[in-house]
Amino acid sequence: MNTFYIHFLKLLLTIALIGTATAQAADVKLLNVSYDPTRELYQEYNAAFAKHWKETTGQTIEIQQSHGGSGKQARSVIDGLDADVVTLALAYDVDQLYQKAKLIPEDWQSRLPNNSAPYTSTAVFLVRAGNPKGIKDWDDLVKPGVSVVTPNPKTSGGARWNYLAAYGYALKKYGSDDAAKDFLKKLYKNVAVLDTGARGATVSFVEREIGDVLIAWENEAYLSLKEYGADKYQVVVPSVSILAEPSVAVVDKVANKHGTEKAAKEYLEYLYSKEGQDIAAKNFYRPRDPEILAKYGKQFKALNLFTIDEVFGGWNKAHATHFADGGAFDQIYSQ
Amino acid sequence: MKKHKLLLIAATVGGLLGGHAQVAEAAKKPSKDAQIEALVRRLEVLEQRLALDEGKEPGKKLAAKTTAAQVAEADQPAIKQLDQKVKILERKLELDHEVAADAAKKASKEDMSPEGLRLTSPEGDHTIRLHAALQADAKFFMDDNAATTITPTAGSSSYPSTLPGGLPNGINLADTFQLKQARIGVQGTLFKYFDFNVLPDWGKGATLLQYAYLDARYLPYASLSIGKQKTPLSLERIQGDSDGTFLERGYPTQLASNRDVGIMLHGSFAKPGEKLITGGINPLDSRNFFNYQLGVFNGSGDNGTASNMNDTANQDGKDFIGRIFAHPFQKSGIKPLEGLGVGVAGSYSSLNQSTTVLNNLVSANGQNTIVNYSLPGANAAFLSADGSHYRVYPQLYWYYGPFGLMGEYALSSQRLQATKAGANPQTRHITENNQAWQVWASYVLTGEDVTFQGVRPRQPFDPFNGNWGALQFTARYTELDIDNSVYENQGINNTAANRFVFLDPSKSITQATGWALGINWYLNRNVLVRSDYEQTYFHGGSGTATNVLSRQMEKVFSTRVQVSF
Repeated sequence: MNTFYIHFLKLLLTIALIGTATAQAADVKLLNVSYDPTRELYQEYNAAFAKHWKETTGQTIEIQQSHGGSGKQARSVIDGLDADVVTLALAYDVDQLYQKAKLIPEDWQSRLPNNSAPYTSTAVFLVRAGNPKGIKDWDDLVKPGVSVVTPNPKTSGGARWNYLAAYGYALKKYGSDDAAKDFLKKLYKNVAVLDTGARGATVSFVEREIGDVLIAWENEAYLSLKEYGADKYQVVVPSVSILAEPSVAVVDKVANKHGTEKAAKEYLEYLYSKEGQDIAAKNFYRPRDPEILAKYGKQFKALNLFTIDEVFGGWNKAHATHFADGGAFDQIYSQ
Repeated sequence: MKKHKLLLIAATVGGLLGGHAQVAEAAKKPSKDAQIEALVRRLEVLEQRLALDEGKEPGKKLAAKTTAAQVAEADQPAIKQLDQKVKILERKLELDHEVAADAAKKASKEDMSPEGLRLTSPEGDHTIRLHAALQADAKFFMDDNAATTITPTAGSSSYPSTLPGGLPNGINLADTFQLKQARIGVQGTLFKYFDFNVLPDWGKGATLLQYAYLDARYLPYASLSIGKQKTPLSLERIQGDSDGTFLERGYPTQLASNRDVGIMLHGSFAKPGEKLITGGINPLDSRNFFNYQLGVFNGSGDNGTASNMNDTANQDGKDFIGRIFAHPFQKSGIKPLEGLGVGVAGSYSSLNQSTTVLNNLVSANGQNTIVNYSLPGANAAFLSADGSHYRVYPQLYWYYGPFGLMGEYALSSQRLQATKAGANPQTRHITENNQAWQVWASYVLTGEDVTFQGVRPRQPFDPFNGNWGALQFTARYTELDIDNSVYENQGINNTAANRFVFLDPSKSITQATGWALGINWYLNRNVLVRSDYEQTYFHGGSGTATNVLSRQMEKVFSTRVQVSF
């Protein structure tokens, strides 16, 4: 064969090998689109995961975060925000990625343990130091003169958990949907400001000093004590609340396009690892791992929790009944 | 005293509380800023009143202080309540601003301007623009007489401009009002890089699709335009139909195709170091340092436009058209020459006994047929293109402030075929080399700049405020030369039986020379009035086949009112 062609082929082979080797050592980038109050959690978790990924693959990984109201974030991803993974406040919002845009498979929730909810939380009350209004349970929130802060269920996943927790309490205590709606009507009449997201509600209560009680994610309430001072606020745990299960998923269509399927899958699976569960607990999310939960037992007060399936028949039914346009919340808030 | 002060303060607080109940309600209305300011002022008044009460009775300062402290303590719940209300109002205002800002980002923008009605998506990647043009013309022909039968005297030459005795061979031309253009079109951009333009036209009593193309300009130096569009040949033809200088274009335009269906690669380049002008310009760029167009079209022929009902070719031969154009002195610092643009265009096609009749050529301003390919010479039957056809178009323009100049030369060399019917049918071929050229100049008397896109008056027409728009004076010289080979008899002898020419010289001219003067009055960016007077001299085009005379000189005054956006 002509020596020129031999040399040319050798050159081509060398270039191909260099290219392959370079591709293997290339950085990986992930975008995690999350809900409002998880900033601190994922700041710590991302650092830990990057270290883990480097140790196991030799690659450096960069994780970018986006935070906002859960419903709003889901809509952003559907409209084109290229999220490799989503870690949203509720399964309904994650499911919209399948329903509206087929970005994830229909059976996404079964791909990870505990219905793809690596940690849980609930709704509690954050009150001012000394609890001047004597807030003890849900009934105290509907008393005249009590100013309540909670976000808007139309935009915030946390707000929907809050609403359902209050509704579930009222349903159990007063026995009927009409009575529960009446209870919610009184509660929302006492709401001073409806923020778009959970973090915004915390800002209103803590920084703007609005309201007597903030209905908050449990993790958000304890984080506020840590950041703003346990001498200024205190957490009040109601008699009953809802088991909030924030869900996570790989956005398959985007991860396939970016070639990040492996990293994205491992990113979410690591949330279930000892280290991942420990970080969640440190940030006041209730871990699924019983060992880690026991380690942080004193941090989380015992309370009666009901699930959305038990009381409302699941998220699809709850959304259609309460949060869809013209649903129960619209009727309650407009009156 | 204590009681009096308590009553005073209670009344003040009561008034404030009552007022604030209304304020809170009113705060839901848009004037929240004003309400918050009012609340703050009222709190200050309350504090001042308390402070005044302290100082009013200096002799009883100790007692007054004690009283003030008791009063202040009694007021604490009310003040706290007011404070909460102010904070809630401020936070609601903050949230409203966030929601409004978010909504503004998502809201599309509507804009009605001299450029038409435009809708733009929030991020600016999609726009749709509704545009329209209306041209209402009037043409008045002067010194035109009814045709008469003239018998030449013996010995006279075949092509006299007038008969002995000085009587011109007249052609009666009808003065006319005409709706030249009535267009409503939609153009826009989708996903930032894909322009489209659809423009139907109901002028002149017909329905014609003037534009229907998509331009994919992701790469500004290699964009693709597909559909029905202007062919990149004649410079004056490329100019917008509403942006021209005269009512009707000059003769070089007639040797070019008008619009055709095809695909065209085009690109623009900025001067090194300068930014490329992109977006909002049609494929025939006239603003960047250098641009090119290279397209292949069905082939609509000289002075032809792809017909509305039959935008398809009837044979394989296609028209390959290319053009390069440059502004060599753009941003050179030599101000007088920065508006100079020079270029050359050309085309080539090869047709095989095309069954399409060749397009007639018309007088420039008068728009009367002066070269009639549908009336072949005696004994000749169908006249068509058969063989190669090429065109060359050197072209330039120069704009400097209110002064504008354009010059263009056209050569159209086309192989034609004619068939002589009869017992012994004959087929002849010739190569017809037609030429045309023009030069025109204009000057905006009111001082505005003139560009290839026309004149933009500084102030719109508003005579009560001393504004009259812009006034432009124009002058043109243009000429058309038809190749004499189409009139040469190739028969066996010059007898009527064997006469076989492509065109009848008594029905088609060999030369047309015209000069025109005009005034354009731009009332504003969208409305203008044009008036031209043109005088055209002809050689041939009248008389009889055996005694050809020159067509009567055409004198036409035409005027146009145009609305376009």
